[in-house]
Amino acid sequence: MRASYGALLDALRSVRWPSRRAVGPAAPGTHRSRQRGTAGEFTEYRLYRQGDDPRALDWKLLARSDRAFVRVTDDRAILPTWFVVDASASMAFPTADAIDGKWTVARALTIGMAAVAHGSGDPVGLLVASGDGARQLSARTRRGTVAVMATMLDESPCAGAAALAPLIARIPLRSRLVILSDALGDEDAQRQVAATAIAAGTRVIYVHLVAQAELDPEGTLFEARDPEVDAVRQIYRAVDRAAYQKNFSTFRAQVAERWRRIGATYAEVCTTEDLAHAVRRLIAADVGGGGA
Amino acid sequence: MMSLALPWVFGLGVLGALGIAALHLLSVREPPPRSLPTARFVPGGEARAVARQPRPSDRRLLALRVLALLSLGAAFSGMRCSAVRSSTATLVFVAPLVAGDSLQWLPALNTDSLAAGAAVVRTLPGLADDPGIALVHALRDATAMANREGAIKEIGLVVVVPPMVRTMRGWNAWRSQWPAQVRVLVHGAPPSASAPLVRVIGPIGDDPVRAAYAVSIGGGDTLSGGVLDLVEIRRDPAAIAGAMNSRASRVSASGVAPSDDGRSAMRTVVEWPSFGVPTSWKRRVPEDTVYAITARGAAIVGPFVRRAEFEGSASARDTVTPWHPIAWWSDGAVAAIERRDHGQCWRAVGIEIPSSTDLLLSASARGLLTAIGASCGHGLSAHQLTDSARMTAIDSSAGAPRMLPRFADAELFRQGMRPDVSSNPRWLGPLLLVVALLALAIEYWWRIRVRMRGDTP
Repeated sequence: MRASYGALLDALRSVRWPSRRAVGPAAPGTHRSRQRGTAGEFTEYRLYRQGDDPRALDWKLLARSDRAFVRVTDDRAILPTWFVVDASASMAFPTADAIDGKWTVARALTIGMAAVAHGSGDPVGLLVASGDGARQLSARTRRGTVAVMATMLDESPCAGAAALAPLIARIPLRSRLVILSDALGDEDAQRQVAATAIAAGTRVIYVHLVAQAELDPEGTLFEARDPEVDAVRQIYRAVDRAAYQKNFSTFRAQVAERWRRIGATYAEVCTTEDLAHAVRRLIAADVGGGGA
Repeated sequence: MMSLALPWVFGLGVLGALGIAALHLLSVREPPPRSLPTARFVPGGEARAVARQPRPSDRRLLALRVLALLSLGAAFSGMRCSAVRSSTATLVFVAPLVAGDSLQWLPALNTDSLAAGAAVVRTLPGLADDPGIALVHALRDATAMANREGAIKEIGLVVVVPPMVRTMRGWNAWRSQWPAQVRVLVHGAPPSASAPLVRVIGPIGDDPVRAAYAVSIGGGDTLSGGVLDLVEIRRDPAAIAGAMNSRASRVSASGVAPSDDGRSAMRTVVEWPSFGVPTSWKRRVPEDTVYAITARGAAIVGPFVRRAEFEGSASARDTVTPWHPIAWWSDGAVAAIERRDHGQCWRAVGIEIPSSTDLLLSASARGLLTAIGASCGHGLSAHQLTDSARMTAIDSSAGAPRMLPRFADAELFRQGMRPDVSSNPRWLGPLLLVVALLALAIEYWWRIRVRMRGDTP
């Protein structure tokens, strides 16, 4: 694991990522579960019904009220958290190894959020989509899972055109899904698949990565070329700066509005933002609901 | 000094070179490519853009192209290189009679044209006969000079003549053609107030020439008359080389032998053999008879047998010691000549006078006798040139008199003439053309080489 991850993980040591809603029945975990049982924290009394476990009866209350009540408690369950990371050529901007590049920030955010989720006992899984194909790491809670994810991300090439929608479709339902992408690929297909998953109970957080150089390109005259679609070439001139920023801003607003409309949590992260702050903001957005 | 016959052609070359240099400051090429994932949001624009560069691109190609254009312009503009360093040229025409004394009259010119190499000094035969010939030659030479040297802006004219000339008719007729002042330098002693002393050295006996000079030349005591010039007429061919200072056969005009007190300032030696032909003359074959001799506007008629013929030609007039005729046969052939050589005057007379004739005693012979017996340079008519400033600076030909300019405008001589657009020297134009073609060839080769290598200029 890179040294840069160490600093980020240290900064996120005390961060917790609870689920905003009660999760479905699952293995015991830290998230409040919709399933009610007799173990765990006392929640309420319920009249005894035939079939209930007699050991759940509250004998003291029976003695006082001469009525039979059972103690009801909330269960805690795990919430598997999946990360789908876009490793297409457009993510390698300005370069694949640039500190302020989208791919570097995507990897750091993935590791940071995975570490927080894993630290709460949730299994974390990873899907990386690049032009070479997809790489998958099944969700697991064992120790070292985050390190394996980091290694897998570092070894993944960031090139070509990658489709994330098929990977999103693989995610088990009723889990937590974090999509890290620049929305310049198959964003529409991703959204459709994500909408289906959201309807089935999956929590979706869409992290829209934007490079500072994309917000305000440097230079006064150059030929802008799309790294994924060679046919897309435009002459960028200084006079076109305002129009370009307006077009890009409109696009980002539309993306945000579309994802929020399907019930996902949308957050835009610029590559110049502090990574630890970005992770906290993303988690807070998910916990608080809506977007950030 | 360098000048251009067609400066506008060279100007076109300069303009072309400036245009090429300006184009090299512009970069008309595709902008550099750059990866931008959000390229789809860039508004559509021109695929090729023009950008201004702070420094010219490919300075080697630029230098070759500029060199080619400038060389082409210079090649077709008639570039001239001349030693002339001044815009004022001076034409100096000198009479042969005074050409030998250039060390005396040349400093008097005092013109910068001489130092700048823009002065043309020519000895003009016939100038002492009529100075008008200088005006004719001046017009022709000024036209040629003005068209040959584009840098010349004004032309001056100087005429160096002896005090006496034969006629002024040509001068008066052509004076108005020269549109500026003419500086006339009169060199030589003014006519002597007294007649020169004539002594005939020849065989003792009946000599019609001796008799003629003893009678025709005015009498009086030459000493008291202040004789300044001496004319020695040598009749005996054998005595030509001797008796220069002989006192035995002196015969003065009055018959009184003057004492030798060194008063003679100019000595004229006349070779007039009583028989045979003078030195440098040849015997005429066959002999003929000519019935008249003219000199000084007078003609002596008689049956003269012409046995001598002067061998000199027109080219002889351009020699160091040029000669000029002082008497002519009636058919125009030269009968007597005069030349001045280092302060001494020489005359040769090819007229054989019969020993028994008295033609020389007649009044019609006075012209011939005066021409032969006159002081050096004065064997012609009595026209005397006056001060040049007063005579040649006023133009009274039309309307009120006006002061003529000191120098003639060279453009006046270029009008109506087809300009000479050739280069000077002749090989300069072709050389510049070769330089231009060579530069273009190198530029083409260099451009292909850069393109093949894909180098960035």
